[in-house]
Amino acid sequence: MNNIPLAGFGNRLVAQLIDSIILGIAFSVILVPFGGLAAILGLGSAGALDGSEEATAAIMGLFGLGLVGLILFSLFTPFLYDAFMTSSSKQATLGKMIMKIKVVGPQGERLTFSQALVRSLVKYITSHFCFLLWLWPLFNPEEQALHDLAAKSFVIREA
Amino acid sequence: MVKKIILTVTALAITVFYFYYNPAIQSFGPPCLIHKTTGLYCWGCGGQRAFHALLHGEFRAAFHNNLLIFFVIPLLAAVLYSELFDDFRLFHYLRRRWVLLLAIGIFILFTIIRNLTGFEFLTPTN
Repeated sequence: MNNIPLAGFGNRLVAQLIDSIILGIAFSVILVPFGGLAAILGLGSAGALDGSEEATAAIMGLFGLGLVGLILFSLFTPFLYDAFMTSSSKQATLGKMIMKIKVVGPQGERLTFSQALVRSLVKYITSHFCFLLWLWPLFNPEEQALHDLAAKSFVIREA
Repeated sequence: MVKKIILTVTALAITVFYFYYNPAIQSFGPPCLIHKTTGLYCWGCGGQRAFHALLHGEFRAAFHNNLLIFFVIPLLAAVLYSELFDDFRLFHYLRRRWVLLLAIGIFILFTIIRNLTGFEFLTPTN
Protein backbone atom coordinates (compact mmCIF):
# COMPACT_ATOMS: atom_id res chain seq x y z
CA MET A 1 0.00 0.00 0.00
CA ASN A 2 2.95 2.30 -0.60
CA ASN A 3 2.30 5.80 -1.96
CA ILE A 4 -1.43 5.59 -1.33
CA PRO A 5 -2.60 8.11 1.29
CA LEU A 6 -4.10 6.35 4.29
CA ALA A 7 -7.41 7.64 5.63
CA GLY A 8 -6.13 8.95 8.96
CA PHE A 9 -7.26 7.92 12.42
CA GLY A 10 -9.45 11.01 12.89
CA ASN A 11 -11.28 10.56 9.58
CA ARG A 12 -11.94 6.92 10.38
CA LEU A 13 -13.22 7.76 13.84
CA VAL A 14 -15.52 10.49 12.53
CA ALA A 15 -16.82 8.16 9.77
CA GLN A 16 -17.65 5.62 12.45
CA LEU A 17 -19.43 8.25 14.53
CA ILE A 18 -21.50 9.36 11.52
CA ASP A 19 -22.43 5.73 10.79
CA SER A 20 -23.48 5.24 14.41
CA ILE A 21 -25.71 8.34 14.18
CA ILE A 22 -27.23 7.15 10.88
CA LEU A 23 -27.93 3.69 12.32
CA GLY A 24 -29.31 5.28 15.49
CA ILE A 25 -31.73 7.42 13.48
CA ALA A 26 -32.76 4.44 11.33
CA PHE A 27 -33.37 2.39 14.45
CA SER A 28 -35.42 5.20 16.03
CA VAL A 29 -37.55 5.52 12.89
CA ILE A 30 -38.43 1.86 13.23
CA LEU A 31 -38.83 2.04 17.00
CA VAL A 32 -41.20 5.03 17.06
CA PRO A 33 -44.09 3.42 15.10
CA PHE A 34 -43.53 0.28 17.12
CA GLY A 35 -44.01 2.25 20.33
CA GLY A 36 -47.00 4.06 18.80
CA LEU A 37 -48.65 0.74 17.95
CA ALA A 38 -48.15 -0.43 21.51
CA ALA A 39 -49.74 2.79 22.78
CA ILE A 40 -52.75 2.43 20.43
CA LEU A 41 -53.27 -1.14 21.56
CA GLY A 42 -53.28 0.11 25.10
CA LEU A 43 -50.38 -1.97 26.38
CA GLY A 44 -49.42 -1.02 29.85
CA SER A 45 -52.92 0.25 30.63
CA ALA A 46 -55.44 -1.75 32.57
CA GLY A 47 -57.02 -4.16 30.11
CA ALA A 48 -56.22 -4.09 26.42
CA LEU A 49 -58.99 -3.86 23.80
CA ASP A 50 -62.01 -5.65 25.22
CA GLY A 51 -60.23 -6.40 28.44
CA SER A 52 -60.41 -10.20 28.10
CA GLU A 53 -57.38 -12.19 29.22
CA GLU A 54 -57.10 -13.97 25.86
CA ALA A 55 -56.97 -10.72 23.91
CA THR A 56 -54.38 -9.28 26.26
CA ALA A 57 -52.27 -12.44 25.98
CA ALA A 58 -52.51 -12.41 22.18
CA ILE A 59 -51.45 -8.77 21.99
CA MET A 60 -48.62 -9.34 24.44
CA GLY A 61 -47.48 -12.32 22.34
CA LEU A 62 -47.54 -10.20 19.20
CA PHE A 63 -45.70 -7.44 21.00
CA GLY A 64 -43.11 -9.94 22.27
CA LEU A 65 -42.55 -11.32 18.77
CA GLY A 66 -42.11 -7.81 17.44
CA LEU A 67 -39.69 -7.03 20.22
CA VAL A 68 -37.60 -10.13 19.44
CA GLY A 69 -37.54 -9.05 15.79
CA LEU A 70 -36.48 -5.59 16.84
CA ILE A 71 -33.67 -6.91 19.02
CA LEU A 72 -32.44 -9.19 16.22
CA PHE A 73 -32.65 -6.24 13.83
CA SER A 74 -30.56 -4.08 16.15
CA LEU A 75 -28.00 -6.88 16.55
CA PHE A 76 -27.53 -7.77 12.89
CA THR A 77 -28.18 -4.51 11.05
CA PRO A 78 -24.94 -2.70 12.02
CA PHE A 79 -22.58 -5.33 10.67
CA LEU A 80 -24.74 -6.25 7.66
CA TYR A 81 -24.92 -2.55 6.77
CA ASP A 82 -21.15 -2.30 7.09
CA ALA A 83 -20.54 -5.44 5.02
CA PHE A 84 -22.97 -4.49 2.22
CA MET A 85 -21.73 -0.93 1.93
CA THR A 86 -18.04 -1.85 2.12
CA SER A 87 -18.39 -4.46 -0.64
CA SER A 88 -20.50 -2.12 -2.80
CA SER A 89 -19.08 -0.17 -5.74
CA LYS A 90 -18.50 2.80 -3.41
CA GLN A 91 -16.36 0.61 -1.10
CA ALA A 92 -17.50 2.72 1.83
CA THR A 93 -20.27 3.17 4.35
CA LEU A 94 -22.18 6.48 4.33
CA GLY A 95 -19.91 7.83 7.05
CA LYS A 96 -16.82 6.95 5.04
CA MET A 97 -18.34 8.48 1.88
CA ILE A 98 -18.89 11.76 3.75
CA MET A 99 -15.29 11.67 4.98
CA LYS A 100 -14.10 10.75 1.45
CA ILE A 101 -12.38 7.54 2.50
CA LYS A 102 -12.86 3.95 1.35
CA VAL A 103 -11.88 0.37 2.12
CA VAL A 104 -9.61 -1.54 -0.26
CA GLY A 105 -7.85 -4.89 -0.43
CA PRO A 106 -4.04 -5.37 -0.56
CA GLN A 107 -3.90 -4.54 -4.29
CA GLY A 108 -6.32 -1.64 -4.01
CA GLU A 109 -9.22 -3.79 -5.14
CA ARG A 110 -12.79 -3.84 -3.83
CA LEU A 111 -13.46 -6.34 -1.01
CA THR A 112 -15.75 -9.26 -1.77
CA PHE A 113 -18.88 -9.57 0.33
CA SER A 114 -17.42 -12.43 2.38
CA GLN A 115 -14.25 -10.41 3.11
CA ALA A 116 -16.38 -7.40 4.08
CA LEU A 117 -18.55 -9.63 6.26
CA VAL A 118 -15.49 -10.98 8.11
CA ARG A 119 -14.23 -7.42 8.50
CA SER A 120 -17.48 -6.09 9.91
CA LEU A 121 -17.98 -9.14 12.13
CA VAL A 122 -14.52 -8.72 13.70
CA LYS A 123 -15.18 -4.98 14.05
CA TYR A 124 -18.51 -5.67 15.75
CA ILE A 125 -17.00 -8.22 18.14
CA THR A 126 -13.96 -6.11 19.05
CA SER A 127 -16.13 -3.03 19.63
CA HIS A 128 -18.29 -5.01 22.05
CA PHE A 129 -15.29 -6.78 23.54
CA CYS A 130 -13.28 -3.78 24.63
CA PHE A 131 -13.12 -0.17 23.53
CA LEU A 132 -9.34 -0.16 23.97
CA LEU A 133 -8.93 -2.53 21.00
CA TRP A 134 -10.04 0.35 18.80
CA LEU A 135 -6.76 2.08 19.57
CA TRP A 136 -4.89 -0.54 17.53
CA PRO A 137 -4.64 1.60 14.32
CA LEU A 138 -2.69 4.18 16.34
CA PHE A 139 0.16 1.70 16.68
CA ASN A 140 -0.01 0.07 13.24
CA PRO A 141 2.28 1.55 10.55
CA GLU A 142 -0.41 1.03 7.92
CA GLU A 143 -3.18 2.22 10.22
CA GLN A 144 -4.88 -1.16 10.19
CA ALA A 145 -7.34 -1.97 12.94
CA LEU A 146 -7.82 -5.58 14.09
CA HIS A 147 -10.73 -5.97 11.64
CA ASP A 148 -8.47 -4.74 8.81
CA LEU A 149 -5.82 -7.27 9.78
CA ALA A 150 -8.48 -10.01 9.78
CA ALA A 151 -9.74 -9.07 6.30
CA LYS A 152 -6.36 -7.89 4.96
CA SER A 153 -7.91 -4.53 4.16
CA PHE A 154 -6.77 -0.92 4.26
CA VAL A 155 -8.68 2.31 4.61
CA ILE A 156 -7.46 4.98 2.21
CA ARG A 157 -8.44 8.44 1.01
CA GLU A 158 -10.44 8.65 -2.17
CA ALA A 159 -8.42 9.75 -5.15
CA MET B 1 -13.32 21.32 9.33
CA VAL B 2 -16.29 18.95 9.74
CA LYS B 3 -13.91 16.39 11.21
CA LYS B 4 -12.55 18.86 13.76
CA ILE B 5 -16.02 20.02 14.82
CA ILE B 6 -17.31 16.44 15.22
CA LEU B 7 -14.21 15.36 17.16
CA THR B 8 -14.42 18.37 19.49
CA VAL B 9 -18.15 17.96 20.12
CA THR B 10 -17.73 14.21 20.72
CA ALA B 11 -14.83 14.67 23.13
CA LEU B 12 -16.73 17.34 25.08
CA ALA B 13 -19.94 15.31 25.11
CA ILE B 14 -18.16 12.19 26.41
CA THR B 15 -16.34 14.20 29.08
CA VAL B 16 -19.51 15.93 30.31
CA PHE B 17 -21.41 12.64 30.21
CA TYR B 18 -18.84 10.84 32.36
CA PHE B 19 -18.56 13.79 34.73
CA TYR B 20 -22.23 13.55 35.65
CA TYR B 21 -22.80 9.82 35.12
CA ASN B 22 -21.43 7.51 37.78
CA PRO B 23 -20.91 3.98 36.36
CA ALA B 24 -20.54 2.58 39.89
CA ILE B 25 -24.17 3.45 40.65
CA GLN B 26 -25.82 2.77 37.31
CA SER B 27 -24.28 0.45 34.75
CA PHE B 28 -24.23 1.58 31.13
CA GLY B 29 -23.74 -0.59 28.06
CA PRO B 30 -23.14 -4.33 27.90
CA PRO B 31 -21.15 -5.97 30.71
CA CYS B 32 -17.55 -7.08 30.13
CA LEU B 33 -17.78 -10.49 28.46
CA ILE B 34 -14.48 -11.68 29.97
CA HIS B 35 -15.49 -10.78 33.52
CA LYS B 36 -19.00 -12.14 33.01
CA THR B 37 -17.82 -15.52 31.74
CA THR B 38 -14.56 -16.10 33.65
CA GLY B 39 -14.77 -13.80 36.66
CA LEU B 40 -11.38 -12.36 35.70
CA TYR B 41 -10.76 -8.66 35.20
CA CYS B 42 -9.65 -7.67 31.71
CA TRP B 43 -7.44 -4.67 30.90
CA GLY B 44 -10.52 -2.49 30.37
CA CYS B 45 -12.56 -3.42 33.44
CA GLY B 46 -13.24 -0.39 35.62
CA GLY B 47 -12.22 2.01 32.88
CA GLN B 48 -15.47 3.98 32.94
CA ARG B 49 -15.41 4.23 36.74
CA ALA B 50 -11.78 5.32 36.62
CA PHE B 51 -12.59 8.06 34.10
CA HIS B 52 -15.47 9.29 36.24
CA ALA B 53 -13.19 9.36 39.30
CA LEU B 54 -10.43 11.13 37.36
CA LEU B 55 -12.84 13.85 36.22
CA HIS B 56 -13.67 14.49 39.89
CA GLY B 57 -10.01 14.67 40.86
CA GLU B 58 -10.18 11.36 42.75
CA PHE B 59 -6.84 10.02 41.57
CA ARG B 60 -6.64 7.25 44.15
CA ALA B 61 -10.05 5.85 43.11
CA ALA B 62 -9.07 6.14 39.44
CA PHE B 63 -5.87 4.21 40.19
CA HIS B 64 -7.78 1.41 41.93
CA ASN B 65 -10.45 1.15 39.23
CA ASN B 66 -8.13 1.02 36.27
CA LEU B 67 -4.49 2.04 36.32
CA LEU B 68 -4.37 2.24 32.52
CA ILE B 69 -6.54 5.37 32.60
CA PHE B 70 -3.36 7.34 33.37
CA PHE B 71 -1.90 6.17 30.03
CA VAL B 72 -5.03 6.08 27.88
CA ILE B 73 -6.42 9.56 28.67
CA PRO B 74 -3.15 11.41 27.90
CA LEU B 75 -2.83 9.30 24.74
CA LEU B 76 -6.37 10.20 23.61
CA ALA B 77 -5.77 13.85 24.50
CA ALA B 78 -2.58 13.83 22.41
CA VAL B 79 -4.44 12.16 19.51
CA LEU B 80 -7.17 14.80 19.73
CA TYR B 81 -4.55 17.57 19.72
CA SER B 82 -2.86 15.97 16.66
CA GLU B 83 -6.13 15.78 14.77
CA LEU B 84 -7.29 19.29 15.67
CA PHE B 85 -3.99 21.01 14.90
CA ASP B 86 -2.86 18.76 12.03
CA ASP B 87 0.30 17.86 13.89
CA PHE B 88 0.88 14.20 13.11
CA ARG B 89 4.31 13.73 14.70
CA LEU B 90 2.68 11.69 17.48
CA PHE B 91 1.60 8.99 15.01
CA HIS B 92 5.16 8.56 13.75
CA TYR B 93 6.32 7.89 17.30
CA LEU B 94 3.45 5.55 18.09
CA ARG B 95 3.93 3.47 14.94
CA ARG B 96 7.37 2.25 15.86
CA ARG B 97 7.54 -1.46 16.49
CA TRP B 98 8.95 -1.17 20.01
CA VAL B 99 6.12 1.18 21.02
CA LEU B 100 3.53 -1.37 19.91
CA LEU B 101 5.36 -4.17 21.76
CA LEU B 102 5.65 -1.99 24.86
CA ALA B 103 1.93 -1.13 24.76
CA ILE B 104 0.94 -4.80 24.33
CA GLY B 105 3.37 -5.75 27.12
CA ILE B 106 1.89 -3.18 29.53
CA PHE B 107 -1.67 -4.30 28.72
CA ILE B 108 -0.92 -8.00 29.19
CA LEU B 109 1.20 -7.51 32.33
CA PHE B 110 -1.44 -5.28 33.90
CA THR B 111 -4.18 -7.82 33.10
CA ILE B 112 -2.20 -10.66 34.68
CA ILE B 113 -1.14 -8.71 37.77
CA ARG B 114 -4.58 -7.32 38.61
CA ASN B 115 -5.95 -10.87 38.74
CA LEU B 116 -3.27 -12.17 41.14
CA THR B 117 -3.85 -12.60 44.85
CA GLY B 118 -2.33 -9.72 46.75
CA PHE B 119 -3.04 -7.22 43.99
CA GLU B 120 -6.70 -6.62 44.81
CA PHE B 121 -5.96 -2.91 45.00
CA LEU B 122 -5.78 -2.97 41.17
CA THR B 123 -9.34 -4.27 40.79
CA PRO B 124 -12.42 -2.08 40.33
CA THR B 125 -14.38 -1.04 43.37
CA ASN B 126 -18.17 -0.82 43.38
